[in-house]
Amino acid sequence: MKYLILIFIFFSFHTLADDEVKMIDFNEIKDVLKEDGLLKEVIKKRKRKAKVKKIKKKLTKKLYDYPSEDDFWPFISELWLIKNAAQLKWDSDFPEYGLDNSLNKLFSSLGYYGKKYQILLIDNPSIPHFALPTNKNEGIFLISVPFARTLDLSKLEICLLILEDFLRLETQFFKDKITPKDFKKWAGSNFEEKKVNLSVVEESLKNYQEFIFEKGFSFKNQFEVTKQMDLLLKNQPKLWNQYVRMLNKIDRLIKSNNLFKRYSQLYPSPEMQIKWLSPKKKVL
Amino acid sequence: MKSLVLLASMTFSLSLLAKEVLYLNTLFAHVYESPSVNSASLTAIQCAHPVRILSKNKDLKGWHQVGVADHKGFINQGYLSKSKPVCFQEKYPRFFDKLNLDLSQIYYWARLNDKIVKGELITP
Repeated sequence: MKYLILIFIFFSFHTLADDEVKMIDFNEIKDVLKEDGLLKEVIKKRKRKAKVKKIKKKLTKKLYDYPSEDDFWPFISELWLIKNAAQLKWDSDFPEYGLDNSLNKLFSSLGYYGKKYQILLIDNPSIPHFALPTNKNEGIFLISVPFARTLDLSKLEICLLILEDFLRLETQFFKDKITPKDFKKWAGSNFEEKKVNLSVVEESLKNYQEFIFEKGFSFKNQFEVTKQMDLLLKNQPKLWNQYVRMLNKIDRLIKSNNLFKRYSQLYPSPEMQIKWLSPKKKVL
Repeated sequence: MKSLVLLASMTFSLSLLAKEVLYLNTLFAHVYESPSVNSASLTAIQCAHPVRILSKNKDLKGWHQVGVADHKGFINQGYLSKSKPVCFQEKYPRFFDKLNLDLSQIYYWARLNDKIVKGELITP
């Protein structure tokens, strides 16, 4: 009996629903549905979804960017310092040289203002002084404490070495020689769905190593920098004399102390620099 | 009892909110045991890492006492900024991951910041 009642109820509902569907004529209300703007809303939502998808895809792609040229140099210079921390011994304890005032005084007297600088003292005689590139015409200036100590360099003399290195940065001699072949193509490009290419990083580090520890600057590079120093300091004879005196000191040191023999390999050579700076003798 | 617990938890969360949060703006940095680069490093943190400022005492001379995870230590105030910086790691995350820096390299990178003397030439 129970089952009979259930079957009856089921069929009565079924027929009711069929009747309701028959009663709604969708063709008649088609225009009303169009006018209520639901279709527009659906199109709008679809467009928004596609836009979000596009932005998401773009953002995901961006995650796979290689560093831009501007971001690469500060990064690679620091990475080189990290990889050579044990050799350069920059993590030692050094006295504070307090070069800020002398550096400001020297650079402002020559018309250089507002530039950022970074100085890192190292406990290694093989690199007496060097500028690693960071941002445009800015760099990390390495100063060897054993070199400065042995020569008993004054603050001004250290600043003159920094100025020399600063000019080398400006001329981009170092950057030009160590920039890997494919760098321009690589920098700022993307490696999504590709295998990462770290060869530029490896090559740059290798080039840093070779240049700083083996090759060094050429005579031509040195001549240009020395002439620029000459031009800059000529108006201030006190500074010019100090610079020449310092070059003489360095020349004597590298000829007498084996520890600093590599100096002329990196910067050839103080002896030549002195010659280039000396006024030409007039033949009567 | 319930209201007492609620009040206690509210006070606790308010005290957390009251603590200033700053962000690391260098690639890596050490949190030191005392306000000196020669003291022991408790941990090294990455750029944009948030740190809770526990004290900004003038006697600390350029250092802030901070809370990082379970550690309470000191960090150079020059390495912290109010807003989240755009870091190299965040700009190029996949590239940076692929470098596979080991712990000693992270340690040295954080030390490098302490050792480099940064300055700017005066402008007239």
